[in-house]
Amino acid sequence: MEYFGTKVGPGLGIGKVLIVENVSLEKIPEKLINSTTDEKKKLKDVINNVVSDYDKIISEVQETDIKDLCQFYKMLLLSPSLVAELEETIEKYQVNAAGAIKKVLNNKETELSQLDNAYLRERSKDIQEVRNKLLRKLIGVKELDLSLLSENTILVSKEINPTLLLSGHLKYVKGIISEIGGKTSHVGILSTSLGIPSIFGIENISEILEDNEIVFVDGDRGVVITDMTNEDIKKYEVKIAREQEIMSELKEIKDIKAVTKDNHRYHVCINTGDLTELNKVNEVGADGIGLFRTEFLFLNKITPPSEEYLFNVYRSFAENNKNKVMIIRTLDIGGDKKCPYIDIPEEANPFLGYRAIRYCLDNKDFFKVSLRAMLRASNYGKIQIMYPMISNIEEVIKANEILDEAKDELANSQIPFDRNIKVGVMIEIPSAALMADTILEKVDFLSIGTNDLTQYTLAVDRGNQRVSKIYNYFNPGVLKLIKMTIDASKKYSNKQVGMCGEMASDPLGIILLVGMGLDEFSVNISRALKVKKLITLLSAEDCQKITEKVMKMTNEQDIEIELDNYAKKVFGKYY
Amino acid sequence: MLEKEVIVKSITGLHARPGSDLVQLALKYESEVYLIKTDGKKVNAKEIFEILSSNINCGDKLKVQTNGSDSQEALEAVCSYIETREG
Repeated sequence: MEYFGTKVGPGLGIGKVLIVENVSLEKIPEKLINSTTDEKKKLKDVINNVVSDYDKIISEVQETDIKDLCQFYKMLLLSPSLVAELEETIEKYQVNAAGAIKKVLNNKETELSQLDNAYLRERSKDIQEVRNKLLRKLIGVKELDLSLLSENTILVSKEINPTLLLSGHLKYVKGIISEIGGKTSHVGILSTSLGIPSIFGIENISEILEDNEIVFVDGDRGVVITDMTNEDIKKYEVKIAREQEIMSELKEIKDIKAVTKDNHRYHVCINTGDLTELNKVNEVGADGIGLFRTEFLFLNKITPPSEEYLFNVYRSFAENNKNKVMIIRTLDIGGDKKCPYIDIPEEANPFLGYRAIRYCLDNKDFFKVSLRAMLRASNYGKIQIMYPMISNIEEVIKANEILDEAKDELANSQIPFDRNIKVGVMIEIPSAALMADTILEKVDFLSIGTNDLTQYTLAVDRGNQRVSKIYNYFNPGVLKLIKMTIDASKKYSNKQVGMCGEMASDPLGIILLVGMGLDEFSVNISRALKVKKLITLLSAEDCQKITEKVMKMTNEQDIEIELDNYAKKVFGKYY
Repeated sequence: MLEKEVIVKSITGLHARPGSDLVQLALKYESEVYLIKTDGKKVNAKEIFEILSSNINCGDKLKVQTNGSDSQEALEAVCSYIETREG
């Protein structure tokens, strides 16, 4: 079976399932039996004990992320107002230490969880974590000791608490699967920075899986594979070993450029849309950000973000990636993603509905706030603007008009911005691919979003298991649209075509795209190094020949076999 | 009592890590350190819970207020932290 969830920590892992039970702390008695003085002493002791636990971790572990997190927890515990409030609660409500801890910290947690800010809501989980740690200590629950593990293990839980990862004994932890939690939760951030393949948000997974069964965690694709045969297990073990060897090798050469053997240079950029990835471009030696998704700045909020806020976020990214291109995609939102202040009614077909540029063009003032923020940030770095979901030339013209208005407003107020800022269109609707040459008369670049282009061309929802096997970007019809888009740019010496879908990091896709003359590959951070390496193993001339041959083929199976044979030959162990 | 206006640089706002670093910094000084939001809300910079629940975000304008024997040093340190801290 395959279970899909949210990709959190990249990488591959295989191991035995260990279900981590969450001990119920709600039933701990809260009645005051001893004197309040005794309870206050107990309270101080337990706080001091937990603080010294954190101190111990800080002095023992190497990872700065863990040290910082423990420092933060310590700070929470040592807050003078917290201790005072806990003591007051014991007196006022005549409860014991546990009762006070629950009451006070639950209130604080609720307070934070109601704020209009996704990051702060995650921090409310930190308060829960500190609360639970205090309660466990108070009643003497033994923490799961990861140093006792002796074989490769995949931790599975309803919700993994950060404490578990803080001990630093992670040698045998090869993956994390949980039902709750997101990429910006502390466990999410930790598992990413510790390099533990992690997948969150799989419903009921802690009940579906059983202790000791062997599962494979593919953090790059966000899938957990179960019920494997012995051959499967062997196959995945080999794959993991090879991947690890390659990754450590690739890190050594992170600054190589993507130049083919016959000296054609390609740009490899990253896709991002997350505040935690501010400095990642340099970590993988990428040529820039090929797709900056802005949705995270708009979702999970009660009111729309201000121009100032957006500007500051864009500027920080621009400044951190000095001299490197950063393509910001304007808001791509629709009926499937809810925002209280964006009025898109429930639709039968949100992917064919009122979304992205269609909404923005109708809500000019709202759209202009984002555009002004992007323009202002362009004074601090090489920012480019990209419109999503374009289906006809009128939309491009209209969007450009609104952009011109935003430019005039800034110019009139003497606010600096890049007057030659480049503008592009995302090619994800078949009509836009067919009209690529006309669209290019109005913009500076195109970026092909293969995931949506494939779904829209083949009229297939890849999430629907009955039809998902039809989804394939090697379908000759899809390939023709891609080639058409790339060819359209060749009439201009100064216009580029990039790709920001999954095909750009697929080894077989790369052969074809080099052959077609794609200028820029924009891929997930975890794939960037590998994509660069693969390009260096190719010859553009040979890829052109293969592409010519493939474009004459009539079905995707033949195409994949042809490319697979070639890939084995040229990529060797990297394939 | 000293005052100065600043704009928050940190893209995640003054939350977990940037927030707790700010508290640590403020605690180094004897002076009282307050952050005053544009809506008038006064936040004690030495109290992590107050900082967290004040929901201070990137781009927000704040008035930093210090009061005590080392108020000048405290004001400079806290302002420069808020204006430059990125992550």
